[in-house]
Amino acid sequence: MRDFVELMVSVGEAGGIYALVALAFLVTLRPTGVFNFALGEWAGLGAFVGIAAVVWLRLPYLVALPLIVGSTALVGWVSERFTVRPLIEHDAPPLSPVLALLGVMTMTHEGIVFFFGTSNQFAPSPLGAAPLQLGPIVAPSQSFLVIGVTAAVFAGAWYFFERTVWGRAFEAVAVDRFAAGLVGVNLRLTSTLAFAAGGAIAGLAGLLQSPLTSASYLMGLPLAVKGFSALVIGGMGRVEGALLGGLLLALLERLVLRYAPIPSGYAIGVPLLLLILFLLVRPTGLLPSKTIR
Amino acid sequence: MRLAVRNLSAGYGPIDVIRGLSLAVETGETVALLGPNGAGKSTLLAALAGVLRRRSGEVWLDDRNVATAPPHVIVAAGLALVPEGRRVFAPFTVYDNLRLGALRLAAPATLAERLDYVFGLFPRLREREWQLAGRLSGGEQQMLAIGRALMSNPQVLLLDEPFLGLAPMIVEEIRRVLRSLAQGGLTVLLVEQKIDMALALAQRAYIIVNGRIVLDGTTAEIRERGNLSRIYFALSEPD
Amino acid sequence: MTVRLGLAWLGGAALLVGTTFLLDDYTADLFRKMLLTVTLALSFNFLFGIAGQLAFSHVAFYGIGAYTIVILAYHFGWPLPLAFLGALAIGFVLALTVAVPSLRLEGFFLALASLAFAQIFTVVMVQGGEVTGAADGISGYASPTVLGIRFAGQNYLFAVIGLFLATLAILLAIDRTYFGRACRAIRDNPDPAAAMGINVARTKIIVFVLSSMLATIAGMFYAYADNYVNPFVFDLDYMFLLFFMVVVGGSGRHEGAVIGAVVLFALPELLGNVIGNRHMFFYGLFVVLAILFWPDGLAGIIDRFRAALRTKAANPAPIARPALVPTARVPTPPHADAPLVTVRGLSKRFGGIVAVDGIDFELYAGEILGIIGPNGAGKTTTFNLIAGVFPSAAGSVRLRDTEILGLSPHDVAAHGIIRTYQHNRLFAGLTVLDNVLIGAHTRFSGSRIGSGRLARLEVEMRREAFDILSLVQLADQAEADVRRLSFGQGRLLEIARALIGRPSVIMFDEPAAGLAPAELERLGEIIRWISGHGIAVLLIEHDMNFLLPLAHRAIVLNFGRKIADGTPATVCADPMVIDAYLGATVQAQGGTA
Repeated sequence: MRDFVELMVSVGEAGGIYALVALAFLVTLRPTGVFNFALGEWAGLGAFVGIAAVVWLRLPYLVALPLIVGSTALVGWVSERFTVRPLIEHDAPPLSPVLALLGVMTMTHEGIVFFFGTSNQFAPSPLGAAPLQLGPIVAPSQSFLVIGVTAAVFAGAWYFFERTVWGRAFEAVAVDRFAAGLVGVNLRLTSTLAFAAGGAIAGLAGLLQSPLTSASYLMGLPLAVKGFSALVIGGMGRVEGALLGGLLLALLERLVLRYAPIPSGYAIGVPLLLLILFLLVRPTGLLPSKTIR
Repeated sequence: MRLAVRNLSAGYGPIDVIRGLSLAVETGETVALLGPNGAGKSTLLAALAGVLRRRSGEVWLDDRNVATAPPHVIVAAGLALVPEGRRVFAPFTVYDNLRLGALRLAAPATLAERLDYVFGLFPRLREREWQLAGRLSGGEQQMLAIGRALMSNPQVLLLDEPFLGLAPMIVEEIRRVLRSLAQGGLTVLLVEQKIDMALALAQRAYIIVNGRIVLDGTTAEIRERGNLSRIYFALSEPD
Repeated sequence: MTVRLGLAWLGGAALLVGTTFLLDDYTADLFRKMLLTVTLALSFNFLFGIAGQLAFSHVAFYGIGAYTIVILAYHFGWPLPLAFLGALAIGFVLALTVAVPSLRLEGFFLALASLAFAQIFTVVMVQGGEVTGAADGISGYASPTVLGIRFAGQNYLFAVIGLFLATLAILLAIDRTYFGRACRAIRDNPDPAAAMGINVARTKIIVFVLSSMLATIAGMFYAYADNYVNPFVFDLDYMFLLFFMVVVGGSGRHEGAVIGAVVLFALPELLGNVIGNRHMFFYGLFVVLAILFWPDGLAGIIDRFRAALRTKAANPAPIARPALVPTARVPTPPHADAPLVTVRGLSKRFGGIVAVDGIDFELYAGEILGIIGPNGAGKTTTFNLIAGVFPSAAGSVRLRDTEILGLSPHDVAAHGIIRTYQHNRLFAGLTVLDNVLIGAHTRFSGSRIGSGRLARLEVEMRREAFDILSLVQLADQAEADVRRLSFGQGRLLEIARALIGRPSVIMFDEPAAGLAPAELERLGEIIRWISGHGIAVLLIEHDMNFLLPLAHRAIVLNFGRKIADGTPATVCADPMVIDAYLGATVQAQGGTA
C-alpha cells in the first residue's frame, strides 16, 4: 500500500509538471495554430528567474511568484508581437512562425546560460525542505505543492475555457477564426494573450520543477519533449487532454522504470516512443476534441 | 443607422473582386443585393464587416468611417454580419453561441435582455438553449446565426444568402422575423440570389455584376423591368 | 557536361586541395570539420530547403553512419569495404523505416516525430554499453587503410574534399532533372504538384532516403576525423545548428547551404574573443531576422547586391513566334463521334449532405463544354470528382475505356486530364519556365530512358515550354520569378502548364474570374485554339458574357442534379434554368433572351 501511495505521489508530481507544459503548448497552439518549440526553454527560464528572485534577491515567495510568472509571460508576449504576428499578417508560409520560434528557443537557452551559468542551481521549496504528512501520505512538501498547484491551474483553466465568455471566445477562435472575428473577438489580442499565457504556464512549470530536481540549463528540451508528448497522447483539443496525457505519461514512465528489465537511462524513451506511436496511429490523442462532424 | 459605401474596392489576395463600388442604405431601410455568382456580393459584405484586409474606399456608419477598422471595432460600432453558410460554433451550445454574439454588447443593454429578445424572435432556439449547435437542423442553425448577430444589438444587419438550402417553411419563418426586424427600424442589407425572395423583403435593390453595380432602383422599378435574366447572364449592359 | 563546366569543377577541386597545403595542423583539422558540416548542410538543404520536409532526423543519420561503420569495422572486425556497405545498408533500412510512416505527417507533426527519432538514437547510443561505448563513445581505433593508402592526415583531407564535391555534384545533377523540379513543386504547393502528375508520396520517400543516405555516408567519413565518436556530437544542438545554417544561408539553394555553413562555422573561430561561446544566441537571432526580413538568406542578399551592381545587360528579344504549331501531333480519339469522357450516375455525399446526385453527361474531343449553375449546385464538387480529389464517390467517369473515378490526382493527370485552379496555384520558388515544365512531368516520368537521353529530353522540353509560353505571350517572362506576374499572367501560365502535358482534356475552374476585358479576349482565343487541336475543354464559369460565345454546349446544375443540357443560348433561355438562378417570379414576367 505504501508502495502504491509513493507511486501515486511520484506520478502526481512528475505528471503535474508534464501536464502544465502540455497545457502551455495547448493554450498557444489552439487559437494561433502555431507550435511553440520555445516553451521548454521558457520553463527553464521560469526556474532560473525563480532562483534569482528567491535565492539571490531573497524576495518572499508571494512577491516572487508574480514576478517570475510575469517575466515568462512577458517573453511570450514579446515573441508573439515581434516574431509571430508580423509573419502571420504578411502571409508568410505557415511553417515560418514555427521556424522563427526555434530561433527564439535558442536565444532563450543561450540567455539562460549567459546569466545563470551551466552549473545546476539549488532551489528551495516554498514549503520548506522537510517532508509533509497529509493523512496517510508522507512526501516531500514540494510534491504536494506541485500536485496542488497543478490541480488549481487545471481547475482554473477548465473553468475559464468552458464557463467564462472570454474563455469561450478563445476557444471560438480555434473552432472558426472567421466567425470569431465576426462576433467581435479581437483576433490580434487573442494571439498575444495565448502566447503570454503559454509563457506564464511554462514558467510556472519550470519553477515548480526546480526544487525537485534542481534547475539545470539543460532542463528545457526534455521538458518540451515530455510536454508535447503528453499533449499528443492526451488529446490536443482540450484542457483535460493535457492533464490526462501528463499523468499517463508519468505513470508509464514510472512503471517502465520499476518493472521493465532495461536500464533506467531508457526511461526517456517512453515519451519518445509514445509520441511517435500516437502521431502515426492516433494523432488526435486519447480524448477527442469536441467538434461535431 | 445609415450605411454608406463610397468607392469601395476589395478582394482576396491580388484580385479585386469589387471595384469602386458605391451604395447607401438609409436608416430603417431594407436593401437587397442581387446578382450572379462571383459578382462580388459576399465579398462586399465581408469587406463591410472588416474581415477582408484588402480594402480601399470609405465605409460610413452614420458619420463614422470604419473602412480600416478591424472586425471587433465594427461590431462595437453597430454593424453585424450573418455570414454565408451560417458558421455557428458547432461544439458550443446555443446559449454559448448567443453569449459570444454579445461580446461587444454596449451598456445599458444587458445579456439577459438580449437573450430574451432573441428567444422571443426564435422560440425554437429557447427550446434548444443547451443543445450543441452542431446538432441543430440547417434552419435552426440559420436562426442561431441570425440570433447571434442580433445579440450585439446592431443597428445595421448584413445577411449573406440566409435562405440558401432551407426548407420553405423555415424560409417563411425567417422571412417573417426579418420583416419584423425591419419594421422595428433595423437597417438591413441582404444578399440574395433569388430575386423574388429579395424583392419581397426589400424596398430597394442593387444588381451587381462583375464587381460593379449595373442597376439600382426601388422594388417596383425593378419588377417593371423585364430582361432581368439578360442582365443576370450579363448578356448586355442595361440602358 | 560541357568543357567549361568540367574545368570549373577541376578548378574548384584544385583550389580546395591547394588550400590544404597552406594550413597548419590545427586549421587543417578545422577545415575538414567544416567541409563535413558543409556537406551535411547540403544534404539537409535538399531535404528541407528544396523538398520542403522539416525533419530533425538528419544528424541522427550522420551519427548512424559514424557509429555503424566503427562498430562493424572495429568491434566486429569487418574489412572496411564491407563495413562501409553494411553501414550503408543499415542507413538505408532505417531511412525507409522513418520515411514511410512520415508520409502521414505534415508540417510540425513531421518535425516532432523526427525529433523524437533523433533523441531515441542518442538514448540508444548512450545506453548501448560495450557495443557503443555508452556516454564515452568509442575511441582509439585506427585510421582505415584502403588499397594500401592510409586515410589519415592529408589523405583523409583529400577524401573529405572528394566527399564534399561528390555530394555537391549529385545534388546539382538532381536539380537539373525533372525530379529536382518535382521536389520544389511539392515544397511550394503539393496539391497542384499532384494534379500535374507528380507522385508526391513516392517523391517524398526518395528524397528522405536519399538525403539520409548522404548524411549516413558523411557520418562514415566523420568517424575517422578524430578517430572518436560519442553520442553528444550527434545531438539536437548540432541539428539545430545545421538548421540555422541552412536558413541563414538561404534555404533552397546549394550556395545558400554552403555560405550558411561556412559563415556559421567560421564565425566562432574568427570572433572567438569577442563573443565568446555564446555565438548560438546570435545565430538564433540571425534566424529570426532572416525569416522575418531576408527569407532568401545570405545568398539572397548577395544576389541582390550583385544585381544592383550589374548594369542592365540588354536581354536579347526572344524570337517572336507566330501562333503555335505543336511539334508533335495532338492525340485524336479513335472514333470521332464517340465521347471522350462519359460520366454516369456521378454522386457524392459529405456526411448527410448530398453535393452531387446522379449526374450524367458526355464530353467530346475538341468540344468546349460549360458547367453552370447557382451557388452550391455542385459544380466544383463534380469538377473535383473528375480530378481525383475525393477517393470515394459513386458512379462512373470513363476516359475512352478507362475508369477514372477514384484515381488519385496524379494518376488522373497521367491519363491525360489536366486541371487549372480558380485562384492561381503556381510554384512560387520556380521560374515561369520551370512552372511550365512541371506540367510536363508525366512526359518525363512516363518515358523509360537512360540519363543521356533524359538530358536531351530536358532540352527538347525546355524548347517546347518556351514555344508554349510564346503562345500565351509570356515568353519574355520565361526566367522571371512567378511572384512578379500579374493575376492574368498567372492564369495564362497555368494554361501553359496544362498544355505541355499534351492532355486529352483540360478542365478550367472559373478561368474568367478576375480578368480584364483584354485578357478575357486572349483567354477566349487560347481556349478556342485548344479545342481546335482536338483537346476537350470542360469549364466551370459564371461569366455568361464570356461563356456564351465560347462554349459549344453547356450543362446546368442545380441542387446537385443536371437540369439542362444544350447549346448555351438554349440553356440560358430555358425557364427551369432561369428559375434556378432568379426565382419563380421572373419567369412569369417572361424575361428571356
